[in-house]
Amino acid sequence: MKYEGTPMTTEHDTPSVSEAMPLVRETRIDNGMRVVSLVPDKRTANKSASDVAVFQLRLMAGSALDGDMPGLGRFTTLMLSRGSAGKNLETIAEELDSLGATLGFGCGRLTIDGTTKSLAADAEVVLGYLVDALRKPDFPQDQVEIIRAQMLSGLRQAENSTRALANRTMREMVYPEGHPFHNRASGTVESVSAIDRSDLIAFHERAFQPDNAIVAVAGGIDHDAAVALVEQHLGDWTGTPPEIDIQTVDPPAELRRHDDTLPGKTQADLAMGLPSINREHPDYYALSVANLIIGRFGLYGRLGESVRERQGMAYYAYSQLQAGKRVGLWVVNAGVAPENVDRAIDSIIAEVNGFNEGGPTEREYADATGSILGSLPLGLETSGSQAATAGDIVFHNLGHDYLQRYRDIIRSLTPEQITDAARRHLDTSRLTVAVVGPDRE
Amino acid sequence: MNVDIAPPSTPLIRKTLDNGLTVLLRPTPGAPIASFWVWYRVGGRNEVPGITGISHWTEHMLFKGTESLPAGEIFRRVSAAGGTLNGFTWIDYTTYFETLPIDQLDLALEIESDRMINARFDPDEVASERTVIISERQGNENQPTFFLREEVNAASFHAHPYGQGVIGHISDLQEITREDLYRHYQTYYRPNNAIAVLAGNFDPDDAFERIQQRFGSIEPSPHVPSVRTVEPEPQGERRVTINRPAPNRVMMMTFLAPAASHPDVAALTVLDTIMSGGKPFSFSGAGGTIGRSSRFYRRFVSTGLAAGAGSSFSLSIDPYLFTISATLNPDTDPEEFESQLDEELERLREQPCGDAELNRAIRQLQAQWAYAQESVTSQAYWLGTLAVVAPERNPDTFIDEIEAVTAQDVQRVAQTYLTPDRRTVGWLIPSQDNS
Repeated sequence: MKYEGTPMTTEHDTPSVSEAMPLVRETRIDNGMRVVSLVPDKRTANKSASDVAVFQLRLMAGSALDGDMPGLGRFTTLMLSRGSAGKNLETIAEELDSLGATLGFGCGRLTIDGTTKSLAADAEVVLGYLVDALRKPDFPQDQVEIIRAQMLSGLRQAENSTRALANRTMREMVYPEGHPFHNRASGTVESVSAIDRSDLIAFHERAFQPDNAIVAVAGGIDHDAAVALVEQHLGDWTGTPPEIDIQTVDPPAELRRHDDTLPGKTQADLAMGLPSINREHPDYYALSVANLIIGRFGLYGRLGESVRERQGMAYYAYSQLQAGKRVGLWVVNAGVAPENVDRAIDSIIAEVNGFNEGGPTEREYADATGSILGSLPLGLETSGSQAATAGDIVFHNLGHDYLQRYRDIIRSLTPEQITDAARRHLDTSRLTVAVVGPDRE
Repeated sequence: MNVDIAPPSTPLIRKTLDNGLTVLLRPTPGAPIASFWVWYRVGGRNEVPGITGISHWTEHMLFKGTESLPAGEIFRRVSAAGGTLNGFTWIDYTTYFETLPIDQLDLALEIESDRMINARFDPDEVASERTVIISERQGNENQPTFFLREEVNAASFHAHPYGQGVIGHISDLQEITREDLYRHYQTYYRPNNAIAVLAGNFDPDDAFERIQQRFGSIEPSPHVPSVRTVEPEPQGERRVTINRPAPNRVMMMTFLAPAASHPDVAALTVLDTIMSGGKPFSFSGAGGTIGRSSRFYRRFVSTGLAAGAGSSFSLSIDPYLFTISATLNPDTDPEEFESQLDEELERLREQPCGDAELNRAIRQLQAQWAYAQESVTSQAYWLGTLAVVAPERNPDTFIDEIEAVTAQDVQRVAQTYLTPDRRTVGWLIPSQDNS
């Protein structure tokens, strides 16, 4: 068998098989929930995926609603699988394990996700557990204490990790006190110790509402069957989640830096942050290509090349553009030998400034856009990645034909647009820098 | 038990080139992508004191340039083609892969055939990589459990090189020379010590021809040294303690376990699942761990004694380890924890598990098997792993062996391998506990 694939350059005349991209199909049911899936192109449909089924249910609530109890959303979410609809943890675990199914929950700043993966034949049974956990959690008191102990243990481990501590310090400096993103989603020792069962019940009642929720499905379950299941299990659930007010933040007038130490460490970690654009901002695509070239492409782009490869002073250095639904953050992380911290910071800043001045080279431009275009089919291989993609497209209002338009969006970007976006959004003179390294007494 | 796991959609094609390169092809329907891997039978197992860590360092050097693909070009070209790639080193193997759009397959074949023979090992690149490797080790050292794992591993083997691990001792990393590295490369990176694996949506005849064109002319190694040492049967329990600043007390317990070629490995895999849930067969663990109904979760995690408690058993060329580990919650007394763990181990040796528990464990492994089949990268990873550690085994029927395991088998392997005098016990005790 032969595909009429054209080489992955940035110019394409004939669509090849890897050009064929699915549409998103969306069905809104009466309570405002949206069931979404990818309509496979028959040339690219992955047959073996049909043994597996995935549901990803996203509620429009998250730890931004924690208020003065940091960790509350995370705590509530962790409790969901610890007993629901009168079944205890042991019974639920036995039944899910006897199907080889997974049921997991995550609490982001603005979203709460529940995800199942199972053999396709078990999809309905497993969806039932997901629904019970979201709608009828029991919050058994003994499990509240166990989850509290786990969260406290996680916090202690984070306190002992140079990377986690550097990131947390940087975030606390970027988002001022009172901002919903200032506190850690995992809370503090004091707040997690103080949360009680009634707080969890109250958070659940307030935040867990179906309006606008997204149910993404993929694998061996088709769209219509999924809509019928969602109507049957969730159709009588009604309610609207609270509004979340997220203000944008300004970067400081000039670079700020904070240094900390931890005993028993040999490596230093640094986190550099800059408030950035959200996912719907018109500069998003240009800035993400700039970020790709600066700190992601290949072995972490120019940062990897300079700090790791050319100067050999770090095990890693990379950047991330975290463009969220409301606000964004641009972050550079690096792990370096303690004596190289200042040199690494200087050289990271020099690389970013160099990009802002000169923009991408012709080759960088071709490589970065080629990479984005070529990697599309790889990102849609498994049921899990298909569900996540369909869900994200709807969550960010990108349009049902987004995957089909995506190549044109990327191809239409010019090197000038990419440079301009970097200049507008990557002002290194206003970075926030946090360093955590060994305690050298 | 009512299960319905589809068998692999196409048969596995196994061929050998004249120069000794083993070629495994698994054509699959589905997405227009392919995953190409080259596995070398060299890793921590093939190292001696003075050059520990050399396989891992050699792996890094294969990204540092050939005449036709200078340093950085491999990452650049695969990424620009929309692909992903990596390399990694383990006790038994060093492996490299590219997963990319099928129309870019030639790029993967070009890269892997080129660096099998043409890597330059430029002295400047060797020097800058020394810093990178040492900081990789230091990054590991930032995790206090790294020291525990290293010490327990070393104590578990007093003869076999598996005790050295993979990353290498700091003193060796400071002294290894460019000549040491190049000699290692020339000895082990040859077609007769390698396995090429391709999984994805391709035509097998065409793909084999292209592999033959790229790799067929590479000379085999005249001599690949064998590993002679066999770890003798342990003669009693060994114990180590690590004192480091750390957030929690952590226990690690290992038992010498049989090699992948041994008939007992399916039963040990089920035993591991009964202890702590079914582990993924997929590459990089994608798929997640199942198993909150497992014995360890119920006894240690649900009760709040431990923040986490797990077990692991992986397939290896020579006898390696069945490992149990736990991170204690602050109020848990280590001795109390160990005595409860001993009770659990004794129960596994003394009583066969029930049918429901056995079936649940097998079903978890079947599901993990199905999940791994979704990804060509995971399929190629499994084929390559098994071809290195147990070439005589059929990778498509390992799941059948697991389905055939009985409660008596599980009890028997627990009695045979998980005995107190065959174990090494290590504790990480936070240094602040002593002050």
